[in-house]
Amino acid sequence: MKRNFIASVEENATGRIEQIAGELRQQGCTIKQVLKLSGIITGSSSGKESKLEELKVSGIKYIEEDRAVGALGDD
Amino acid sequence: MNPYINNQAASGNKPKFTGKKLVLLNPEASFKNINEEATGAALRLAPSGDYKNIEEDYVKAFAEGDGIVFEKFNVAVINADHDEQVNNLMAARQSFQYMEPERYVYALDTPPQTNIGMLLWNFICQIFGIKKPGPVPTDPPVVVPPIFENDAAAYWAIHALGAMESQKTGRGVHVAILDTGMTLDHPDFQNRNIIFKSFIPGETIADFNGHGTHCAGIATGGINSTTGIRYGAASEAVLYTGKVLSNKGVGSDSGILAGMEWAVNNGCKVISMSLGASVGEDARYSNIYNDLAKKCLDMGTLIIAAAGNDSQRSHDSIKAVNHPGNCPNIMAVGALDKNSAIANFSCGGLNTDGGSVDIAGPGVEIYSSWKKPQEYAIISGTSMATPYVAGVAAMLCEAYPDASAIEIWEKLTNGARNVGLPARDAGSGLVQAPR
Repeated sequence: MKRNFIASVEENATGRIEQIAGELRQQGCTIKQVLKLSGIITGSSSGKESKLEELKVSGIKYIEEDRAVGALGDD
Repeated sequence: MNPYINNQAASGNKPKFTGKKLVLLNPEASFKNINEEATGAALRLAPSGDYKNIEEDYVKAFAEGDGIVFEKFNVAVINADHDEQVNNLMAARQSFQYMEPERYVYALDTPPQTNIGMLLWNFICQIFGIKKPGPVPTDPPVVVPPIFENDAAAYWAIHALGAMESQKTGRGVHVAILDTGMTLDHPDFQNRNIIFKSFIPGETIADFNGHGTHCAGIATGGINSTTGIRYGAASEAVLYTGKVLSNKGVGSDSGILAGMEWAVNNGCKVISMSLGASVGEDARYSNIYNDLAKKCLDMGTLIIAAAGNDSQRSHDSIKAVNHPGNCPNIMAVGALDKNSAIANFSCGGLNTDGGSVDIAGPGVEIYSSWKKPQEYAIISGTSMATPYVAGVAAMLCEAYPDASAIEIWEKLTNGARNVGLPARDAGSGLVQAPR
């Protein structure tokens, strides 16, 4: 099952964030955004992995599910 | 149309006030001075020291005189039907400084008490900290919760912030509202420079939901251009509106993170996020958001997010602070009503590893701008409390232009007003505008 994810890169790896995104592509991921200032990569997995942690290539600090978030006011 | 009147929720049948008055006294005033002033106003007040700490004696005191002076606490409780005398004493501006109506106190799971003596005694115990034996509470000291009302100048939330007494307007401070977009041609935002960007594929910045326009109005709006009544906090802040939630009010982490980066890149000092996702008790916060929020703090940007609306406190159900407000480096905001009570829906700080409520803001029956053609609406949520805190943060940034984001955080929490609520629910208290 394909999973949407968000991933952060290590502080000392932000300079090669595009390279890390490329490595994720090689893992079959589709990259949605590379946020250079934030050091964050977003995208979706190929679905071949059993858990997101398997996509933690060198330089990635955390990888988490891209969650749905909603507005918090009721009318 | 006055949307406030037309949309007010029913307040229920429970009486709120006892008729008695609680009066704050000048701490420098002696009982002799207080008594002289009271006697001059035809009031007979007794010092609490004349009575023992048992309910029968206090009831007797109220029956024999017009009220009691609690010297230790600088408070007088005055019987009903003496409004004119109390008003005269307040107008004299000597020992009698501030007055509030005494409220009934209801247990959550029991019917209201009808024994007036017991009721009064319990109330006095609550106010003045007369405690039964037991563990010492760690929450702030109990205070008389302030009540706020709408008037011709401003809606209650603005009074709750103390914003009418502040000279600050957030002038020039860049504030980002990450939400459902914005009604750019709203009449109250004419002549405002609004910077916008949509992060929702296929949707423009136009807000066909209303939630984003409401939050933008709370944080950076001013007065209703037709009625002249104020509802917004930082009316001279520079509004950055990022659409990270669709017109259906739904978004994803990836879009929110992109919106946060956009805001930081544009020099926003404050980012307001009235959004969230429910988490379970004992759930851990997102490391990614928390690290980014820390990075934002270091770069001078304060992230403020809603605590969440999952609780049903009237049914004894308190739920954990939502994601991403549960991150320790993000300021989580709970919601209060105009009686300074915690909102029924407001989430609480249940999780020890992050997940605390940091501060509270007005969040029940909140009037603000709305999408067209309605243009104004009254809604409730921690979504509404959050942009009030963001607006006050902008006012603080104006007041302290050299302050770091962490210092603004500290000024928000240190300056919050204790309204007698536990830290679990309201954090450091009700957010206050700089005076």
